[in-house]
Amino acid sequence: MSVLDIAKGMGITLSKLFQKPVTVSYPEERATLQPRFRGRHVLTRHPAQRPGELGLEKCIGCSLCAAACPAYAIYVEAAENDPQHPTSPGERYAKVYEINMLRCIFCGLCEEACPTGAVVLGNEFEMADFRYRDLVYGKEDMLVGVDGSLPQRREAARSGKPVRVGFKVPEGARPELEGVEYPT
Amino acid sequence: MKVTVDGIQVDLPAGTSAIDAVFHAGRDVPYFCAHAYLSPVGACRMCLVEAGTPRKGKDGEFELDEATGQPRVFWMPKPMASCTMQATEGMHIRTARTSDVVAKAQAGMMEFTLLNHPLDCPTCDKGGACELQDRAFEYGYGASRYGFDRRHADKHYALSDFIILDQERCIHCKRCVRYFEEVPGQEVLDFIERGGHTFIDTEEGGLPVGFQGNIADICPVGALLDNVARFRGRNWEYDHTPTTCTLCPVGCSITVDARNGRLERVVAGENRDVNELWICDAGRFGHVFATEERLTVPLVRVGGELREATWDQAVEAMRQGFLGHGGNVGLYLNADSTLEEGAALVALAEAIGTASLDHWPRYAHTPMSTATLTDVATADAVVVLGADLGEEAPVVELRILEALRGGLLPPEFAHGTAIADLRLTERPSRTPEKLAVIGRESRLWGHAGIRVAASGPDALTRLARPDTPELQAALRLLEGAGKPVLILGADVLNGADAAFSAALGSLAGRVGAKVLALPAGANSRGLGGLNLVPGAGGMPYARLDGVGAAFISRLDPAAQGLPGRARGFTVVHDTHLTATAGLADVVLPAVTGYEKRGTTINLEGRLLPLTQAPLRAGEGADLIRALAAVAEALGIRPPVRGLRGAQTWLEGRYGLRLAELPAGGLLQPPRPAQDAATGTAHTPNLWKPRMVPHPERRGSGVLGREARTELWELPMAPAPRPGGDD
Repeated sequence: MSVLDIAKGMGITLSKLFQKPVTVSYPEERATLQPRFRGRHVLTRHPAQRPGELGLEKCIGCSLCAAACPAYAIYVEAAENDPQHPTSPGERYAKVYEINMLRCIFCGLCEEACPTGAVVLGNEFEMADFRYRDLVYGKEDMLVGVDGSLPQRREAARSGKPVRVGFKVPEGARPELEGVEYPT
Repeated sequence: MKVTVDGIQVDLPAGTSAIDAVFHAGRDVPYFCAHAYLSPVGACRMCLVEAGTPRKGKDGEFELDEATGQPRVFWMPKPMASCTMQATEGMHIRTARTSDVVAKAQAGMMEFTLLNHPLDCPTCDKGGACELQDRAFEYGYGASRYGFDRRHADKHYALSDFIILDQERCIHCKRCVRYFEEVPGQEVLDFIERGGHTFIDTEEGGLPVGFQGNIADICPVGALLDNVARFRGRNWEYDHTPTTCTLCPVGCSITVDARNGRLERVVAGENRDVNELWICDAGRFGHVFATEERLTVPLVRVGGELREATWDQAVEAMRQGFLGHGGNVGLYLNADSTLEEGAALVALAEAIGTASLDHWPRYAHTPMSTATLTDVATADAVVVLGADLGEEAPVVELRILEALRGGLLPPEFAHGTAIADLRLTERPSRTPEKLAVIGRESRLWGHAGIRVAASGPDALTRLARPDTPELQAALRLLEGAGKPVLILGADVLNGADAAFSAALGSLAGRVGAKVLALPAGANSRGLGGLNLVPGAGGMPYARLDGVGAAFISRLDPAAQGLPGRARGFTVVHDTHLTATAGLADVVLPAVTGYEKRGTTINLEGRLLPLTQAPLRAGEGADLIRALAAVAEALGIRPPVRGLRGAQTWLEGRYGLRLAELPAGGLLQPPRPAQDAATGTAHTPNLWKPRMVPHPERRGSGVLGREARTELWELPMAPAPRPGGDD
């Protein structure tokens, strides 16, 4: 190897020093995601009947997502709607809806199986946590309107600052993700 | 009789329906209204086939095809409903597999059936086990050409506390109507209105309790649903365990559907010799006790109160408690325990040398039973003596009604029970004059031609020497019949003794009747055969306060008003914290009849297998293992330590081979049971206190989010550290 070769190599290094970096300094900077990125599930709602109210949940607790799940990550337990204060349209709603995010392989088959379009794979991916049971997400963690993942909300509750997600979706969330907004 | 189905020739007995010919030939036809144990009516029109028969000429011979020399087949001009058509000699049948006409007709019928069906399969409890769903997939077009609005009706119409009717889903197959008319003989349901407005309803306001749950099983769609299991799980999520019901001595075949360790549903299984396809409401809906308020850990009395303990601590407490009692230990078990559990108890009693062992409920003396349930169903005269079958053995009532209907046992084919037995007719005529009921008023009275109010064991002597015209008529009925059956219930058996048996034997011998003495408990007949009764000087169950120390398995004498404690030390082995368990010194958790492996003997002496359903029972142990713990506490080597050991013990002593039983059970010759005084009378009661379902009490068993977010802070980080975890 000659001195010339070393100088060539150093020249490349030097030229890259003045170019815009391709890396993103996540998490200070937001990572850019495509809308079709498959992340944490969102349980969507129907549009509200009256402004200011929450719409009915689309999920009817039919367990077809659990049947389609190749990783056996979903557990659904249904119950009967109170006719005066229904949770979902029809007779049946999901009383328990849990997805074990450690088991989930984010394949999207649950979304395909869902007859009402209730479970949709969102774009959130920052779910790293310490305890197994904190990675079993319930309805409280997945219904539309819940910001961030469980560790992010825990951090926000501790620091008193709003939840900050570490990604952006320049094209906006998919239309299937009814009511979900991500930073653009 | 030779019938050709799609070119396959099959040989069938005369009278077979075309649908059975098709299935016997291994071909398939969709059907909704036909049902193995109900009359064929041809309501749904799905089982269309093309059929043709040879025709006989003037000479009485088949007209021959000139080209082939074979009988010429004259095809019927249009597809025929195969369930109501009788197959005849030389008939040719074409199914959808070989005939496009049939395929089109069936797909068209399916389109009509689905015209008003709401297609809310995701919310329907029948989804995944629905005949309509499967058949629409197999035989339908896959899409409807009708775009107009569907019929709208009440989707949540409670026919009773147990059965919910969804009128939109009903496809008018009439199975439920025919079931009530033909099986329990109750005319309660019917079609109301006509055409597309037809709906099922009852005028009476509610369904009669007893056998109403069966309509949820036979409904081919999700119109009639089990309200106790409503929305508890989807059909593919349940763990299905075929087993035997141990609530009464009939021993019906059931399938236990459990999910997540909770018993959610019981459906009937088929056993042609025992319950056919029908079970009682207690067996179907009275299962909630298996998942509610279960005792899951041993309890030991410390300082006057019962505290949770480990099995090791419980064994230690028992060892302390049994000290000084020596062989003065009483062992008592519920009569719904399995034969293997009874064997373990007898073996332990022999090892201790105690004569105080007993099962409950039982009678002091039980006459020999010779009749089987098939004998009951085919009898030409039935006399019921002092039995309230609704409380003692409900399904026997259905078999008696079957006898009144003509006692037709369904034929068997390559595909199993005949799907459409053409001998069965809609709204069958019954012969109440063939049934005499002597005893207190019960549900069976309405069906009996001869009713005599009587009570106590002298009913038999009154029947043998009749003093009233009704009793004379009952005796004449027995004398005039060819295959009479005499059914004895608790009212006469409570006071029975050897003299009673002799009187019964002479009466039965004189009239040629078979006898069916209903045992008091689910396996009383089996446990009595093991001589699991107090020996000389032993204390019966009702006198368990006479023994120094007692082990009581799944019995609640305190709630019955009997002494709930032995004189010195009491161990209770139960699934719930009963009144007796509350008095005990040590309480061991038990398992219910749904969670046992073993064998039981039903009222006709049939060995029936029990299988273990996957229910959450905590540290609950069956009686064999609990007795092993007791033996350990007593300082002796347990003679029987497991199921296999108990079966070896039974084979060695009684020659019973229980390891591989056929699914339908195995009839055993009757074995005389030893007589032993009980000290108290048995009152039959089918619905026990914890069996009644409370919808609001049926929680999910899943930890709520509140419980999980209580520990919002991580245990590994007790104080918040600034700057996060990195």
